[in-house]
Amino acid sequence: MHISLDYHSDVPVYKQIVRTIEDAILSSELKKDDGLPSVRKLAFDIKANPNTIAKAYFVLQSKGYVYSKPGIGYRVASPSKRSFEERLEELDKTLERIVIKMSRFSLSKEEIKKRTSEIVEKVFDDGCN
Amino acid sequence: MMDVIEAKGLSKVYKNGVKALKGVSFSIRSGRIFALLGPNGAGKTTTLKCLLGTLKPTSGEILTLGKQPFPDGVKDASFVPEEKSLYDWIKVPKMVKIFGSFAPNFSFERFEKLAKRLGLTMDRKIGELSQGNRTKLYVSLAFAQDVKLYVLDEPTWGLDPLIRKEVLNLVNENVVGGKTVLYSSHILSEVEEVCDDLIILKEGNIMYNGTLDNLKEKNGTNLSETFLDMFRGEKR
Repeated sequence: MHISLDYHSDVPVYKQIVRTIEDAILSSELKKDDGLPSVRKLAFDIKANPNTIAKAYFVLQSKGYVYSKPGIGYRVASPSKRSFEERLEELDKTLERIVIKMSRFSLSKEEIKKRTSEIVEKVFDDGCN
Repeated sequence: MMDVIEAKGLSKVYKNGVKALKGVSFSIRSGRIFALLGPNGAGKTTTLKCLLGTLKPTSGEILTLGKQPFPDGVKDASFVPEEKSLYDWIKVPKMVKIFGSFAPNFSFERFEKLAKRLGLTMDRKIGELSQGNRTKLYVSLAFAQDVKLYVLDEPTWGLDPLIRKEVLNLVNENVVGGKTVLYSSHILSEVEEVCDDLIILKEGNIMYNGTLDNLKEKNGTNLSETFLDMFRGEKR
């Protein structure tokens, strides 16, 4: 899992970390009971403020993505079906924004459908899904 | 979490009549990186001096690590001053020796590691050091002390981007052990990389007091944009 941070974004850094770890869990890159690095270690590895990492872990825990056990540290929980649906809805909205943008370039419904399905084909053919 | 610093209604009027601080109140929690921001002349350095007890406030109350800082100063704190001038005629190793002999909880071993990490030029008189090397010297001296509070006034002045990043890493590493860092700077992008909480000062008043996360979530902008909005159309 690669965490890249944009400190100058309007999205707080803890949220960027939460999102990266959430996505890694939802896409099964991180599996149930996998261990997460300690706050200290992750802070050191990605050169971030440890308080920010602690906040991100706290949020992930309260959303049910991770759990912590004394002496063991943070581990991946199995996220609820709802979290998966919620994330998909967010991605749908991103896609919707792009489609709206395309429609403003006077493309017909059919033309947009054609373009988007071409992209779907390309992504699956290239195996980058 | 304990408050490391508590300031209530802090005011400072200088003898020449300049009102540097006009009744500011804030607190700094232990284990946090706290930034003090504002354009030149906003009152940043005056605030730091009052918190460290090197300047007597005209009115208001301050507790730094549980005690009134003026006139005795704060023992369990180290300081990188804005004015980075030490004794110009002394060579760096001698200066380190002198500083280490009176600074509380100073470790020469720690100093050597820091100086090496930041690439400090040792074999010179202080007067011959570049601005960047002076900053490296002060930062190394400050972090060579094992204290509860690190107060850094413009701690990256004159540094190149690589060393600047190293200083930010040092700041992050030092809060791991529950230490508190008070960081004053006019370089917003730098502060944005490290701070948890901040206050923004303008002409001796507090314009914002809260977490960086809340500022971004509330305004939907980054720190620089908020800052520019706050001061837009005025002389900086």
